[in-house]
Amino acid sequence: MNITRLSFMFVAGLLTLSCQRAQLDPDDLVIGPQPGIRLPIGHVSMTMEDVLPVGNGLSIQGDGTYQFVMNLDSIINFDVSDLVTYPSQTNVNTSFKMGLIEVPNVSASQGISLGTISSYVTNPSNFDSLLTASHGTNSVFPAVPTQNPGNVASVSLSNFSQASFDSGTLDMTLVNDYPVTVSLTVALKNSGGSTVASYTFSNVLAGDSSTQSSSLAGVTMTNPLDVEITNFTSPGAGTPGVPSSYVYIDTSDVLSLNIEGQNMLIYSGQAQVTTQTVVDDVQQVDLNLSGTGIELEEIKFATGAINVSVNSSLPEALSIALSLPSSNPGGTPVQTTISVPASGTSSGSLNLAQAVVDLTQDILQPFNQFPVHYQATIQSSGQVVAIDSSQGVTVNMTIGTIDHEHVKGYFGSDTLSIPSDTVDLPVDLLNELGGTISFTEPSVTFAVNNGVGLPISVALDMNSYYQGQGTSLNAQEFIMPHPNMNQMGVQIVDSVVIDKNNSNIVPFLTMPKSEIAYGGQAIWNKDTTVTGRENFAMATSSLMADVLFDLPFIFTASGLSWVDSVEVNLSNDIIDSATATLFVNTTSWLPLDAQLTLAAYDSVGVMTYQTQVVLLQSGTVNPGTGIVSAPGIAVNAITMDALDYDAFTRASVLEITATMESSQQGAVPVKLLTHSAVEVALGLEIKIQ
Amino acid sequence: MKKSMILVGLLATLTAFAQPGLNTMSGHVAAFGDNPGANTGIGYFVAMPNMMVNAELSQTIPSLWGDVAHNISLMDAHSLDLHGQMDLDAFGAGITVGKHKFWITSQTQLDLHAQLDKDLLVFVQRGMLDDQGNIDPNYTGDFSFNQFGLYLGSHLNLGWQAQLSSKLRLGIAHRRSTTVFAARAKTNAFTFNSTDLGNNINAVNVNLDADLGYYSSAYALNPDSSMQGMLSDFRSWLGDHSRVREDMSNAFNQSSWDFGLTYDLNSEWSVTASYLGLGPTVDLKNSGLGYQVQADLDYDGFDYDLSDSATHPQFYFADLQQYVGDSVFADGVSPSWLISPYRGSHVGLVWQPALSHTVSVDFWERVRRFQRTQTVGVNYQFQPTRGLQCAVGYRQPINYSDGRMPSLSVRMQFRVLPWVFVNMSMANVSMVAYPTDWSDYNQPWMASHHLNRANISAGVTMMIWDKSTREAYRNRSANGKSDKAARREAKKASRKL
Repeated sequence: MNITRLSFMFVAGLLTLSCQRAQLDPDDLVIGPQPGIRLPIGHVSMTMEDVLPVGNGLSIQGDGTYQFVMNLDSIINFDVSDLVTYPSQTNVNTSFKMGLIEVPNVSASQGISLGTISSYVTNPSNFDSLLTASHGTNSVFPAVPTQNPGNVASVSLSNFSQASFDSGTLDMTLVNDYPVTVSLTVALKNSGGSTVASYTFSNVLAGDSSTQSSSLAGVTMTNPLDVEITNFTSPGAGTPGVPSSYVYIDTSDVLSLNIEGQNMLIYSGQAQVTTQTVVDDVQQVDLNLSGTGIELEEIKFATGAINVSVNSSLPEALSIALSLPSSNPGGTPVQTTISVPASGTSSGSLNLAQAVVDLTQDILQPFNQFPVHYQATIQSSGQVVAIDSSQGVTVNMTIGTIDHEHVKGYFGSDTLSIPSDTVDLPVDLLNELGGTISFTEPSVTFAVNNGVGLPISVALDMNSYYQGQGTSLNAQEFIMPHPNMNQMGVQIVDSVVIDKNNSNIVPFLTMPKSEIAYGGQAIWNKDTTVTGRENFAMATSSLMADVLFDLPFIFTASGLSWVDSVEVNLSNDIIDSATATLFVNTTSWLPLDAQLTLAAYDSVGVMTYQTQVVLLQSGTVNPGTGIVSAPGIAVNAITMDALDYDAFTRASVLEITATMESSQQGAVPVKLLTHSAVEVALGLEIKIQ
Repeated sequence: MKKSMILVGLLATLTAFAQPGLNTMSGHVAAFGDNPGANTGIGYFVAMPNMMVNAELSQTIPSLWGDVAHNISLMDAHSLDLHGQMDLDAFGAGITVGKHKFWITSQTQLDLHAQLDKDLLVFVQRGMLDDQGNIDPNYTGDFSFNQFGLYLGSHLNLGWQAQLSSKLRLGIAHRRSTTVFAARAKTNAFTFNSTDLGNNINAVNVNLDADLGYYSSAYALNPDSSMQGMLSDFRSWLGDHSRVREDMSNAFNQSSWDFGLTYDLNSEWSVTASYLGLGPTVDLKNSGLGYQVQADLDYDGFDYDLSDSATHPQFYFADLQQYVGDSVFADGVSPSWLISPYRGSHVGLVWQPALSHTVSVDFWERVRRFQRTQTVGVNYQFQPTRGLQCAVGYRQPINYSDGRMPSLSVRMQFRVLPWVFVNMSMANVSMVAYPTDWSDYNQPWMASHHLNRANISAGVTMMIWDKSTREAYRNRSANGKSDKAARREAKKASRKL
């Protein structure tokens, strides 16, 4: 055996040893992955507040219950200016004459010497010489029989030059400095000769005096006055020869005439006047509210003034004092003083701001007016002025724009229409669900913010509509809450609730409803026998009334459904050998049952696929509270294999139907709480074949 | 499709050639790489491109055939390993001057290792299904045994062989190795657990603790870029030759020495031995990038809270991505890259009773980047003429840790033009599968029980035999001497040189 042969045998042996074979059948090979895997997809956690967020009318009550609140703002809204308006005020004019003028007292004195009078004595004829001879000696003073010396002197009075008197007296005091008793008559005469006054003195002892008075009524007196002596007589003195009976004769001794005028009222003349009040009177000022039915009894002005202008023809300056005697009871009344120059004009005003004025002072009209007291005083200049009692003063009073801080009284009776309007209810989703949702405790709250002391009766007219079908609220008429007299200045915040006990509100707000129409009337002082006549209002008072529709989500729901369809064009080129199962588990604290149906239809309307999912299983509802006490759990497995997928992809329309109802087929009222939660757990299982 | 893939795979084994154990046989340029002191009989050579590709599993294909997932689950090992190597000898040249031979060769090596956890492979195929085909919501999977490694390097060998006596040839070669790219990944822990939450809902947990490492001398391979960006940059880098040269010059290089000898015991028997890769193991510490990736994901689904807009379903994937991102922590660490020289060693006993017949037995240990093999083999080479060589060898692994199976190798080298030889080798010819019905590939195939490997090599070399070999064959032809006599003449001629 050669080496080559051995070599081949060696190789063949190796091949034989190493070639033990196994049979590999391709059909036995399972190499493609056929995994099955389950993975969590996710959790959806939501509360009702997530689905129905607060806002847009939805809010949360204290117990967490949803409530739908729709607010109709200010369906009644007016302020005091709508109740009491002040028309333009008319001017108040008054005038007065100056009348009798008091003039100051006057006085004058005139002495008639013994020498002067002796010169006028004619009986005894030597009387004058005798006295002249006896001058400076004690001598016998001869008796003088009655005789008329005539004008022996004149006297000048101060303060006037001429005056016609309405009253007054002109007194004369005679002081006898002669050494003998005299009797005489003294007459004061105008320069024209007319007697102004006449005084008779009898037996005025030497050194004695006597006073006589004369009235000036109806007297016109000029200045100076002539002094005329008549009926002059004297018994004389001394017995001749008896020196002890002699009297000292001095021809310079005088008979003094002292004249004094008092209490003199003149109606014309040229005279000096005293400072004196010539007018003191009251004028009623009306707020010109007659015909409005408003009878105001008290007003506190916020702004306003009585503007006064004075036109005087008097020869002296005037001072006009104006006041509102019924203002500010217990305090300082509103007043002012206007100075008017002689024969001139002036103006001033009475500031009414913050003045409280009683408007009931006039018995005949104890409302809407108040008195103005005015007083005119002549301010004497000390000069002689021409006086004429026909001279006068005109006073013009104008009330400017006034406004008040408050008014009391009776505001009359009137009607205000609540404007009609329509509002859409933002509950389209509920309407689309079909079926009915009946809220068991709805209410309409008439919320009032009122500072006007006025009884207003409200008659609401409300109707809800859905597809043209109306349901009336049928609410009873009510008086709007308002402050009483002790609450003046307070804005009362109160409400009137319209609920199922006093209205037809449950059917009024049973869904579906799409809109609410509202209107009505507000009448004030509708029946004063019940509500009285004491009304009041502050300037800041307002009256606003809102309407709040309040729907606590305590309801029953049944027959709710929602259907939608979408056109689809699904591809069928995905893996066709897989079975996928979607697990949908829900844990619900909602008092709702919900079921979802997914149906697929081909182009000719034949259903090719359908599956149902219990989306929500209602929690256990406590019938006493309507609140879910235990959650409802729904476990779903949606499996789709190749056949299902094929059927699904042949669909041209997918129809999704959701049906819902509240717990126990809507038989028990349930509460929808904002914190009611729904937990959804999603898992996916895929098996690939 | 599946059957076509199988067919292509099996045909690949049919046409494959390669067996490093036969390299030490004469007439093969690769012998200088395995034993610088090898008696190759080559006088001059210019090596054209030669390529070797090796791929092998740690399990035989017949053991996995059938329900692959089930069979994998029955494996004793924790993982299924895939090793791949590709050597490309781009250029080489050698000359003989008297009793000395000098050569230079260059080689590029690509090493790949993928270790896939057994449970992970089963999970990929079966998911959470139990044996009854039902999903187990309380599934527990431990996928911790995973590794991945990739190495690309180049070598430049300068060798010198001297015939010191009539019996002894010694060779030495200097090997300069350049690490172009290296990457590795390893899972220290990787688990997937599912927990049943009831009502068909489950929660999953993924726990991962992995180390990633990367080294590259190529600037463009920036791991921070996206994959597409990396590929784009890599193409740009390849097109920028100056940049390539610069990067390569800056690449990590190391030197090692190969030693080998051939000692003729007598006219028929000789022994061979070599040690390759004498040089330090170098740590590339701080020369690359390293990450420790840790993740602990508990996922029970996307939380959609209607009160929180940030949880809207449109954010599902973004949120999931964010969650994963937030749950994965990658800390930069300083990688420790222990780069050893390409190592190997062998001892062999060669019996050449005649010029055309050579039989050898040997022991080989080869240490690639991710694989170490120890085998003993018996080889036979038949060389009837200078233009034809055929060899066959049987190798028995003595270390089964990497799953290597016994294999039968063949190699053929033949002259196609003057001085031009083509060589082809296949290391696993014994594993070749073939159809039971050649007319119908869908019928069952026959394959070795050991089929777990594909190994091919092929190349072209311009070669002139050395003087002694040429004279031996020339004398045998001219004088009609026997092979044995021709061999003796050749030996004498060789010693005279």
